[in-house]
Amino acid sequence: MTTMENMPKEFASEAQTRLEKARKSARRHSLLVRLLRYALPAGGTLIALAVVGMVIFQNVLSGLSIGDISLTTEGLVMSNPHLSGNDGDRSYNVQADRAIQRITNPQVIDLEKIVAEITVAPGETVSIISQNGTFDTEMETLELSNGIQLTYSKGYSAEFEYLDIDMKTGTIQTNDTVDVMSDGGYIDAGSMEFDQKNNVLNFRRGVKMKLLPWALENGQ
Amino acid sequence: QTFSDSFAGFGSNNKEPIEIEAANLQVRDNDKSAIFSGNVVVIQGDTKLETQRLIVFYSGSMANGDADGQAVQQSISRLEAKGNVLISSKDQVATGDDASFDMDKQLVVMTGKQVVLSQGPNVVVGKRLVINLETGKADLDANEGGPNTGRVKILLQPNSVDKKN
Repeated sequence: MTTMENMPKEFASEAQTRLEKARKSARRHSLLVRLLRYALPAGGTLIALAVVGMVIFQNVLSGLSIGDISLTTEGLVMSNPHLSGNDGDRSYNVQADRAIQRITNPQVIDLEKIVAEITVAPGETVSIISQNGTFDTEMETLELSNGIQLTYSKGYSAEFEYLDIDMKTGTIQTNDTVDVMSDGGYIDAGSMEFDQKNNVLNFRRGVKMKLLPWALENGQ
Repeated sequence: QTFSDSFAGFGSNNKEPIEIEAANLQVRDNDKSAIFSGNVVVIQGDTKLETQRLIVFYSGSMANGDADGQAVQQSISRLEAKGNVLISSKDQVATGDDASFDMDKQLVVMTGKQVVLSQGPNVVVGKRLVINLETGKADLDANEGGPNTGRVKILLQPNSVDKKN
């Protein structure tokens, strides 16, 4: 039985143990909290990703038609695939001789001899022919390389070495020489960036432009 | 102050091709302007314009055509040159800070702290130079407002005047 004079000591040790217990349970509690704080959102995003992935894959599939398919070391090889998609009044469809879907990264498709038609606005289309390209179905970007010929329905045509197209934002850009021609003249530049949203076309790194007034006059 | 019609070479009715060189070009089709920047040089026939920044305002559109894609006739309505502007044509050179070209009225208005118009040895200095591209007539005023105040400095070589028109 505790006596008066050693009361404070016992009392102290008892308090000690109670304090210890409280601290331990607090720690356990905060561990639990921390676990929940991370586990729950992570789980949530995982589910969301799965849903988004499924939707994208689904809508990609709906716009995809393929010739025969074979599996090679390069990946899943599809012959003359045709892929289309749209967003609002902008739509694109991409055809190629061959499309190779990388096994390691199935959202990326390498294309050979591509013909792409992009409707940038009602009655305004851009048609692109390119030797090679890489199409990322999730990011909806198309990187063209090895020589590209672009024709714009408003009477312009252009040649590039390579061209990066972001179909979601409609930006087309290249950091390589550009040669844009029309009957009214031509523009040569070191690089070009076309921002479709605000309809601004930037040529940089040295621009040389020739205008033929008489051609401009009679409607070229 | 009339000069030969050498300046007339720069009007838009001139059929010679126009060559433009610059560091950058931005075409803003929404507000119908094309902005050349960085040592801009414009050459048409024997007329040359140099400036830091040239804004070309056009009607119609560089990129629009009617529905079935025919490029609508585009015409350049106005040019704005900003930053040490030099216009030269045959033996005449005009330099100033800014210049605006009104293609419809065929008028060039050049302004600046010191607008210098020289033709061969003759040099005239003022603040505001108006060139009529059709007649080639150049009027130089001493102050931004109009001809009434300020002084125009003229340097004429005696023998050169009678040779000219």
